[in-house]
Amino acid sequence: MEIRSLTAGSFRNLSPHPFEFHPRLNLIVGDNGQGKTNLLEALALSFGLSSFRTSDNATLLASGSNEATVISRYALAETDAPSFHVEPEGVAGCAIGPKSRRTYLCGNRVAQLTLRRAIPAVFITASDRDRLAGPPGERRKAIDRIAFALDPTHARHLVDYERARAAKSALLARQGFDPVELEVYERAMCVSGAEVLVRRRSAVLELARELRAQAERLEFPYPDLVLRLESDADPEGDALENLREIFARRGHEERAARRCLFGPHRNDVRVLSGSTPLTARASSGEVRLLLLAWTLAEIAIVARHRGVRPLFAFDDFDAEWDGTVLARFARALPEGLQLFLTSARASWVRGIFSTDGVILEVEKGSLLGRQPMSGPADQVCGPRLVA
Amino acid sequence: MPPASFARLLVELERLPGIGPKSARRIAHHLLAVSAEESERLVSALQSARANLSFCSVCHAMTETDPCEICTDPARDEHLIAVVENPPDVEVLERTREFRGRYHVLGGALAPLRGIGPDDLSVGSLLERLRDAPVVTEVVIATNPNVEGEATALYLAKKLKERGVRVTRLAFGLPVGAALEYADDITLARSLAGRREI
Repeated sequence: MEIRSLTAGSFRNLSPHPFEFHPRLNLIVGDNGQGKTNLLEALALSFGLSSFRTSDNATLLASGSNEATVISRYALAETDAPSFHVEPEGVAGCAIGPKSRRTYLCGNRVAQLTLRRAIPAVFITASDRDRLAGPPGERRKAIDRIAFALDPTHARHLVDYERARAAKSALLARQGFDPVELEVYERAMCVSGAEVLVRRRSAVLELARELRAQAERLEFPYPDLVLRLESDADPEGDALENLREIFARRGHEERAARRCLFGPHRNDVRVLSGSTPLTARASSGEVRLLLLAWTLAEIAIVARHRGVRPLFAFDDFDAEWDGTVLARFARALPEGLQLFLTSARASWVRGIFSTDGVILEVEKGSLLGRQPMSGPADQVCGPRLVA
Repeated sequence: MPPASFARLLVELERLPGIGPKSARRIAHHLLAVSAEESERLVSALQSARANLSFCSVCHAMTETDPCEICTDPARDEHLIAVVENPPDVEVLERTREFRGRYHVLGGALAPLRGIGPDDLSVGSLLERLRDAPVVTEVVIATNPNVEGEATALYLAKKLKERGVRVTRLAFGLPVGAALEYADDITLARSLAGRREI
């Protein structure tokens, strides 16, 4: 998948002029607060992803606007398999109001999930820093993205599970309820929860294999990586029977607590080095390198199972890494992938890539300069790139 | 600013289900563009429907007579009741001309998040109906195939089976005339699970 351009209208501080991209590497540089992350966020929204900075749409709109638009022009790469879900080239985008969001693909209004499936993209942003060391929610989301790539029905089962859980939680929170009503939602949780669990197990197995391969490519210093899905249910047993048994045996604890205590919504994925949690041993730079390995593994899995290479965006990619690690990162980037990297240190990172691409300098939401990754500056060149 | 009477019409139209501001504006302009006679016909039809229609005291479907024509029709199969969520579902099943039994309209589906429990639906009157008419041998549950509809179906199945009545559910599967390659994965999986011998 290749994004040729992005046009933003009334979106944060971004200029309405189209941003044209290189099919391989786009290194977006600029000082803090100039719009680098806004540009990545606009790309993410145009592919049906959520904002990685806010859940309040109003903050995405330029001051004084009631609606923002972000529109990407895309094309399937030559190596991508023809897809039933998307035209070979077209436009994808999103119209954002203070309380609403409408997603479009080639002029047709489509569900957010349809757009995500059509334009696969993987992002690493500040919110992902918690993926390995923070609460389990981000890890579950990452595993669900892989499960969705392996089997798109995962999304439907997940939605059904969450709806059944919300209904059961509402019943448990009440003073009195019909026990038969609770039983039917518990059963719905078991059926959809078992489907979720089975797909997450497959996703973790696949991710573990790929993660070890990517960690090796990045020369990650801990070779004995283990990925473990932590679940209330027996990791090997029949998922449906396990969940039924847990609800039957420990249901009284939920009734006493008046909330849902068991089920796949509490799943976690632990990354271990041998039997020790990796985050207890690795430095913050090493944890960030592992996050990159995880993301590259996700990209490889999506590309293998969907036949389309997702694009990869990495915000503030050089933070916490020294020159040696940056060089490893540059060497490990997979071939044929379109990349969007941001950095506040143009002069520090410009020399590490040997691949084709452009450096885009952003200032006050506009493109100030554009220069090929190697060779002399071309048509437009901002002051920082000249320096 | 639109004239006050036009703005009032827009506000009332926007209250209708599925009508947003743009549709409300389009409908309002259409209603004002047609002849006075045509708009009077609409007003009269609405008033007549309000005056004459009510809900059947037996099955809770929409009717002009109480009990409704289906509940009093001797040609209908009194051993069979189809349970649906809302009155329009009766019309949908009637259009098939396949179902010759009677109906029971629940008035929605269980939805704890919106505070809708069994007491807010006509579940009690269904159980009373079965008690008062022991000739009913089968209840076909035709609630929607989503989480709430499925939960309602399971709930009813539990309650009805205690009374010894046969409980069935509408089948899930491929739409007639469709090709396999266009079926979504979940529908196809449910079709496989519900396959039958021929």
